[in-house]
Amino acid sequence: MSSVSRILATARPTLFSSVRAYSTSSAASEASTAAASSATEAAASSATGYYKVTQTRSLIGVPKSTIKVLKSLGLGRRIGRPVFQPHAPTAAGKILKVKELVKVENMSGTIPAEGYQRTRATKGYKVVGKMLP
Amino acid sequence: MFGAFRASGVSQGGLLWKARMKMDLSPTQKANIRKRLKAADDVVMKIEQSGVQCNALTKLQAEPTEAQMPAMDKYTVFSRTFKGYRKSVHKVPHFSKVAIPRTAPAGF
Repeated sequence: MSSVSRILATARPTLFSSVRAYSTSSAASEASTAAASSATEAAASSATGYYKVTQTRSLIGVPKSTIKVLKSLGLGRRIGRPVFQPHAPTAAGKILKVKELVKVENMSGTIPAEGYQRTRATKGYKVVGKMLP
Repeated sequence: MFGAFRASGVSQGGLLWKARMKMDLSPTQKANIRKRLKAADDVVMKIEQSGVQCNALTKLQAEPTEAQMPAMDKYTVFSRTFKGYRKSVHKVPHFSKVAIPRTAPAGF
């Protein structure tokens, strides 16, 4: 570690439930609850849910090992098309490998039957019958 | 330089340097570096919040977040060949998509 980083590290307590200073706004509320409960399980999302993973960067110039992991997650086809992965260590490890290329949201409940969320608007009408066979 | 020729990058051997040779980054470049670091932190935070535990998460929790990093670690990386043993992060190929080390070896 650089000398500056080491000074910061000694000032930080080393607990398993991390006390990393996240700067995102959603983290500010989470940090207080996580510190109070001192457990990573006490989060806004339910215990068993799924990740909604969306690719945000292209694969061009990315190492082949990272591309393989991205494709095993179901990504790599179109940027902005979300994919659902269960809350499991296998999926978590893959997402952390490609963390520079994706964004993640925690969802509660079971994984939807449809592989990815439709991004088009609803039609506004419903087809009840057709004249032609 | 060579008689009638106007000295240019192309005429001086064909090697054309399009990237700035300077170490300093513009304010926009630095802002985007910070934005990308925060985005990577956000991914780690979401995995933490899900309650799942894995080795990759344990290793990443030991790394500093963007707020905890000094400026030198955000915008430069350790390099054994550069003068001062530090080079600007934009010299790393595909630095905006590849995981950059957040800490340098002790003393550098």
